Amino acid sequence: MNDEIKVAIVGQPNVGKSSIINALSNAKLHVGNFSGVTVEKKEVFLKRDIFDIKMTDLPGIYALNAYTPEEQVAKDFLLNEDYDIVVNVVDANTLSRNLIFTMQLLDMHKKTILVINMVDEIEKKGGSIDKSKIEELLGIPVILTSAKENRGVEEIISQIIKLHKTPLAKNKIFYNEKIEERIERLAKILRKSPHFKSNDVSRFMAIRLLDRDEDVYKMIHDLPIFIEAHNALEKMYKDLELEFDEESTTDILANERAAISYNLQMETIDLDEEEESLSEKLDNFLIHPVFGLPIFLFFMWTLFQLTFVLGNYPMNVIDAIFSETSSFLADFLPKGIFNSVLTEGVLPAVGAIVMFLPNILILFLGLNLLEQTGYMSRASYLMDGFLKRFGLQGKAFVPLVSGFGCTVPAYMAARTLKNPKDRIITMLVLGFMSCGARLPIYVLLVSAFFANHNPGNMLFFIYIGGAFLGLIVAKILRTVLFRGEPEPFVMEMPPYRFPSFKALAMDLWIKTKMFLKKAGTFIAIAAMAIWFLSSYPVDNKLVQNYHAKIEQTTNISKKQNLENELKAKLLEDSYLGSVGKFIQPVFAPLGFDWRLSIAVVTGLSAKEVVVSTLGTLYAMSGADETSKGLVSKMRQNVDFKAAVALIIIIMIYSPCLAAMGTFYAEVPQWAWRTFYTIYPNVVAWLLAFGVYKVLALMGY
Amino acid sequence: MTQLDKLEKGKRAIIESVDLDRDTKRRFSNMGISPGVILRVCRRTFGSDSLHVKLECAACVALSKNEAKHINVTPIGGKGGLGLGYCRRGGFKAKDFCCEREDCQLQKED
Repeated sequence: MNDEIKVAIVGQPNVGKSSIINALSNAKLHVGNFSGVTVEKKEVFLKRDIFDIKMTDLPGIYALNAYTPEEQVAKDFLLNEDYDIVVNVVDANTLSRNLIFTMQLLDMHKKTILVINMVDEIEKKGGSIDKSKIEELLGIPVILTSAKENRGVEEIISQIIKLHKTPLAKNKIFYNEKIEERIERLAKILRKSPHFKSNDVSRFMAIRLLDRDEDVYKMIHDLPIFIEAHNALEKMYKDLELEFDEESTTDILANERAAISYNLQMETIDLDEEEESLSEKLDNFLIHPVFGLPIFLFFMWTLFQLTFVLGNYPMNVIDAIFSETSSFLADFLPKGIFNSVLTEGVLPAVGAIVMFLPNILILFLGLNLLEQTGYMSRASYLMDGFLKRFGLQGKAFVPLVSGFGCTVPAYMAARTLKNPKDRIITMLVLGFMSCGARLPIYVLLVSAFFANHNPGNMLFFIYIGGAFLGLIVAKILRTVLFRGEPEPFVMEMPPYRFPSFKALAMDLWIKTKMFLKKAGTFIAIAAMAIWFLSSYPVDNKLVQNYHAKIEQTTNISKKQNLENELKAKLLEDSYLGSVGKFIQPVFAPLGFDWRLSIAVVTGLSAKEVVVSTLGTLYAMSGADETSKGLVSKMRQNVDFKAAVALIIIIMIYSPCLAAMGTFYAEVPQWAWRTFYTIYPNVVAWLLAFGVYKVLALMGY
Repeated sequence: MTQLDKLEKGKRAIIESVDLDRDTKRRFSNMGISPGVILRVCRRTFGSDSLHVKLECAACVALSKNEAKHINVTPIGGKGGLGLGYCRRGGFKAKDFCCEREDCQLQKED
């Protein structure tokens, strides 16, 4: 039987933990160049010789005093889970700051490996790191790596196996003797409890208690030793604060660790202070106080222009391929249910989705570049003052922009916000950031109704308009329901990095696979369901009557009209038609017919289903035989005012079920869950109605 | 001594104290903003809502004005002396700046 080694990969945010795991295992963890890319633990399994290595990638954490919910995930794992080895990844560029956390990890006295990543960047600056000196000073193995260049990463595995076989080395990190004396006294009290019998555990718990760790304090709260420990602790706090002339023992320990790590860096890194780095030169331009925001808006505008203009060419080709294939198969295959399901149900629906894949990929490529270059943090910094005016803070920008890709990870990215009020406001308005799945609906409607009005601009306006609307709602929520100041804004700005083509390609490939899989499974099944519900029941008497009329008619055009009339009547009398007519009164004031109404409702399952449902319903109705593509069918069958109202509904109403499920998982309060379920739909309807009426008054 | 938000762009300074609530102070400390650390103000946003500072550990941090005004700093003047960073921590390399603190225990080398 293989020997299992459980490894925790831990480190401060944005040091390249996920990149190292990707390089080691060919895993496809999402990477980016900003703090908070990984917000939940992820497991990767490796096999080397007789060893099964289970690696857990933990969210970035600055220190064991967790500040945000995603840091708490990492802390809980480190304190409560079972693992054999800690792999502490640090950034070579900011070694002294990273080592402060390493000191806390070494307090745990577990088998630890220090991985100094991004050494290539130090080397490029002409610096060097004395690896053996760090090993000697810390008493743990050290590996120099560059995950980007795939350098040194394999050594991590051999070191894990080697360390697994060797006994735990002695602890080499000690604090000032005044602190050590208190640690020993407190540990002695803790050892009276069976939970902390081991010297290592009691020492670590004592340090955490002196560091005012509330989680550890809660752990001892119900133990018989609590009174004794509490009294001793209170006295130690007072004495130490007096002796060190500090406000808190947390500051004393932080100073101690900072001193050790700073010394360590000075002793082991040989690097001259650089003049002005490339990042600083770029920042002079990209986050200029005056031009910074216009430059950001220009980037976003370019992205949406490219999404529409570049994506339009393959979109038309894919649309034509699916339309032609449907027509060919409809004539080629024998008439019957299979023919109908395939050519009127599945193919138009799947085709209506797949044709937008190029647009979605361009949008995701742009967002990935934003994440990987390090511009995301800069944009957060630029937006901080602007967002504060709407009751949010700069860090909320990361989940908000992630929402342009997919709402599910965006909800999870809100974990990087500490203040629960800030987190709930951000999550409540995240739905206003149109996700990638809504892009096909926008492209379809913009192509059909704004083809002559610079469609790229229109797309940009829809996305930015939605975001701006979200900010207004955030301001209202902050004023009415969540009074108070947003949490303090402090965010690391990593150096600009050239994006990894491999990571970009991998991410786009994963998106393509997921999209096609969704189109081939969920969308296809939904299309079959839509086809079935819109094909049955069949009124045989009606069919016979129409067939009799068609046979009597000699005029081909009249025959065609009668056939279309029959299709439309059958569709209206179908199960779906009945449901559509039942819900239509809700949407009738917005100018929606029952087909648009059904499409909006089915879109609650997944936004792509709106387009696939329209694809099936317009293919089945036979409303316009001359127009092959869905774009022209929409233009022929939907009123301009209704199309604009539909865009507004799609922009604002509830996101898909998966996103709603994520919100419910992240927000435990039923009151907020209920509010979140209702309010976007009410706002969407009211706004769409208002715009519809204004357009009607303007004569559209 | 002055507040960080009032420090001119491009100026270096040494952090004297951070007068924020315990949680925020600890966060700032974990991110490298703590007494004794030297920083440089790189730039501000339009309207000076937020600051971009570079710390001596080479990390760049963005923070808002609301918090920056609670960070007290002493601007670093001419060359030739030793600073608070050395005094408080002991043992690391001397830096070519003067902290300009009247109560600095180390003699300035003119």
